[in-house]
Amino acid sequence: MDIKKEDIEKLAHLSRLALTEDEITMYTEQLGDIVNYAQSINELDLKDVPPMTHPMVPENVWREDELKECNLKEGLLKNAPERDDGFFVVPRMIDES
Amino acid sequence: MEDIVKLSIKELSGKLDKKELSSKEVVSAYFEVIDKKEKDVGAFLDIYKEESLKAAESFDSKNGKRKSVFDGVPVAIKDNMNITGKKTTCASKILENYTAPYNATVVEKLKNVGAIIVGKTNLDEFAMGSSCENSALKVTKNPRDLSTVPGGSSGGSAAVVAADMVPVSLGSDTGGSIRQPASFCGVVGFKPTYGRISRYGLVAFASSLDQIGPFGRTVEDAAYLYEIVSGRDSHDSTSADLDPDSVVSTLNDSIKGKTVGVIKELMGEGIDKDVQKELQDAIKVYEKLGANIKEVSLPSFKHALAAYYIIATAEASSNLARYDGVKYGFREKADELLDMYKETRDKGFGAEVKRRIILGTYVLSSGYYDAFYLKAQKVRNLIRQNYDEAFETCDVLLSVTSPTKAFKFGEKMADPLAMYLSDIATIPVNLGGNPAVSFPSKPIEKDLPVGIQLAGKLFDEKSILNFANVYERNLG
Repeated sequence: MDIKKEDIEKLAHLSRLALTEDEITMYTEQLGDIVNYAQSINELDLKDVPPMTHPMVPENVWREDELKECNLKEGLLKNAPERDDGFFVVPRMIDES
Repeated sequence: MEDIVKLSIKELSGKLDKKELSSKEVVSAYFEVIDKKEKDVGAFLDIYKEESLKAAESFDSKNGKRKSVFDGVPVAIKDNMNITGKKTTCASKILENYTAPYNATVVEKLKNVGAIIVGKTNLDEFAMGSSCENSALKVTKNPRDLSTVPGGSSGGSAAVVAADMVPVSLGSDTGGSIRQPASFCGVVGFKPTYGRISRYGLVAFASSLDQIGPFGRTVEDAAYLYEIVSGRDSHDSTSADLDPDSVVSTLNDSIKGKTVGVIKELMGEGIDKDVQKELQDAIKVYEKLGANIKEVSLPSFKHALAAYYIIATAEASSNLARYDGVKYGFREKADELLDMYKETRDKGFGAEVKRRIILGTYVLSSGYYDAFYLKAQKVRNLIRQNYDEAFETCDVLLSVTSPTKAFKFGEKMADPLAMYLSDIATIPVNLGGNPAVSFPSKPIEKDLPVGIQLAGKLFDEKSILNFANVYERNLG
């Protein structure tokens, strides 16, 4: 499984990273090495092995549907790079089409 | 004149109880060490000196019984755990100025029992790394040899204990990030079973692997800290429905007639010769202590590293999607939203973090999910099955913690895979969810230390700490 430049560019877009040309070159090579190494798991016969999604048996943890106090609002807004009262301000979104 | 900073937690606690020592004297003594050594070691990202001394004075002015063994005692925590009103940077530019609006549950527990948190320690950025070299904010050096790395990702938390700057500290461990630096710095580092300690307020890296755990100079010191922070937490749905654990009282139980399994796949090839020798010596110690030794094979371990770097990076790519410049953290200005996301993240994250996000995105992407992520989850199941089988005939499993001793700065930075191989012995433990402890193979001397690792059955922290403590006591 060869990793090509185009693969990295696509992944960069999916993961919202504005990689530089140098970074794309570097990650293309490094990812290729790592993916080659990771391919070793294809040696195993895993047909009858169920996947383990979580180390502990996943059971939902319930609580009563009651309103509880949560005084975090100001603390959360305090870290905003840009805010307008109770809102986070962001640049506008331009439709790519 | 006694050296306050050499006292064990038990001795310290006893003297504070009897008012033979004041908390102010204790905290001041530790700050003397910090003032002297921190400029060389560089383990702290933030230090709360004035507040700590004030907290110590406040403790001294009170009468009556102390709240716990840690009441009036200084501790440090890794800078990926929240303290209200303090910075949590995760050693990243993207969170360099982030102020936590709430306490991590472990911090809440420490404060409730009177522990004095003196500062936050350095780490590999977002806990991704095995040397602390990936910190975007600072370089931390191994107190045993300043030309070598302290290990990672909890390099700072290991270093502060190794340098006697605090008696105990908390780190986090996803693929070995407590145990490996403990090995490199010559201290005890312990990762409990997944779910023993609440992850609420711990910045998530890989949610099915992350666990918080203690560092101490001795097994007993680490055990005391573990008892305080363990226990079910309603804020963390993945925390096990168990009371805080009790492990100190059984530390000195006899291990005669019990069985130590030595893991075949973690011996020989890939392990440095001088590290191998320590393991062979450790086996002899356990024989002398009356334990049965048997070799066990866990064949799935050959694929553990591959499975780990698929699962952990997949989970990381998801967990780190939140760092987008919108609600908190660093934001790179842009006219358009998508550009803002991309520029913010490219400039805010370091190379290793980006590498793992890209890899994680790859293994989860359409067309590759079945080939990588699904298969890795099946390997995880095989690891669990191998552990279960080994524990049918063994009480604990023995191996080295790391294939090498602490390496020099820059030695493994050119090849990411070479760095990842540091974790071959620690990673299977996280995949299985099992508890494991790393402790020095022998008392500290001029050579770089080597850590010995014991892994245990799920929720059997008692046994591994017992075995580790008996070993340590036996070596004097």
